[in-house]
Amino acid sequence: MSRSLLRTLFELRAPSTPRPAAQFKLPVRSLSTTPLRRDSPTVSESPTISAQSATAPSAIPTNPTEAASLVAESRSPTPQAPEALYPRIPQQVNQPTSASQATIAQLLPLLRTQPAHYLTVHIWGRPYLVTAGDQIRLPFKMPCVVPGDVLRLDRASTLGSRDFTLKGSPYVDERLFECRATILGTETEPMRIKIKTKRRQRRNKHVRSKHHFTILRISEVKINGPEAVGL
Amino acid sequence: MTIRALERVSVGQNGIGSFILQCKRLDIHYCDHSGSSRGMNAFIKTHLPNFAKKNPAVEFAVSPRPRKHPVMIGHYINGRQKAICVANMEPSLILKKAELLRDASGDKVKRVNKPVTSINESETWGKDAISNVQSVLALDTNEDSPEYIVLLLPWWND
Repeated sequence: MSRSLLRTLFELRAPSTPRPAAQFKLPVRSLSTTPLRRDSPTVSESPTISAQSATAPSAIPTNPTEAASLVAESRSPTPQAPEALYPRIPQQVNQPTSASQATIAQLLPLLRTQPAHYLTVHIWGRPYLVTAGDQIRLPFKMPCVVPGDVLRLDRASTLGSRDFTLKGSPYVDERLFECRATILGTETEPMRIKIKTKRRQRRNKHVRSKHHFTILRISEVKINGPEAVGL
Repeated sequence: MTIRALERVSVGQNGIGSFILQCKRLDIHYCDHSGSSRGMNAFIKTHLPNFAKKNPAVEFAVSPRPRKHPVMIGHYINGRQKAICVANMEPSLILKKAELLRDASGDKVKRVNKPVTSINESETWGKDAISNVQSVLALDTNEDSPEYIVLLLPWWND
């Protein structure tokens, strides 16, 4: 059988891949992955965001054990909206032009019907190109999370399938997709030893460092239709 | 009649569908007499009950080990162990070490340079789209399949 025929056979698969039954789904807009940068006030462009940042510290649990309550809630038989681990920052959406609206209304259903999707999610300013089931090793240790917590990733610059790509400027409208990630734990690296030398000195300085990294697993990737943005 | 093996349809990955904590047991050893266990003894009295209550997935085993430094040993699902000597440490620092053992995966610590690890096929995705496309075309030179070019054109143009 020729390779192209095989390809077309794969394309005929049902668009919705079989998904393991999750006991509980977080509400659509409960968690935000974009943290507040309290050290740089230039980030907050609008008064709404700065008002959000004023109330932010109360929303951040001070110790990791409070974050664990989220897990406990998610396993309870009557799920309730858990408290957000990180405060939400409303997305600044540029008003799309009528041409781009028409393109989205026409091509997004085609993108949805192709079975496997990828997206470029942004976590704390860094892009990660992921598909469902991928593992991300963040370059830092995320505070206030414990293994088993579920994050909803709501910033993505690209959504795509094999033939179609939706690019955001800079981000795709967050209503167009749902992406969730589970915290797997924290990993480390082997101790790095940097030897610092100075001229005409008999001693070498050994600088040691060992960093910690949070590991995420992309548990869900779902792309909504153009109805989600009212097209 | 030949025997055919069942093809594996999917691979289990932690965190998809359900999540399992990798640390299954935490052994805590202390000594009643030696001074290096002073912080550990305080940790067992003050922090440990709360910590154990917060982590029902982990089995905590506390046992004395006279005339030796206090040690915490984490046992993981993959069969490996991770031991930390907590001699002369403050109780709060010992709590941090216990959290470290709980969050660890149990795998050998190694240097990873790529942020994303995937087992999904990604023939033509991402930044290497064009190089991948070239390789696919090279593979298919023997077959008469110009559809590839048609299929992949939108990607080059975007």
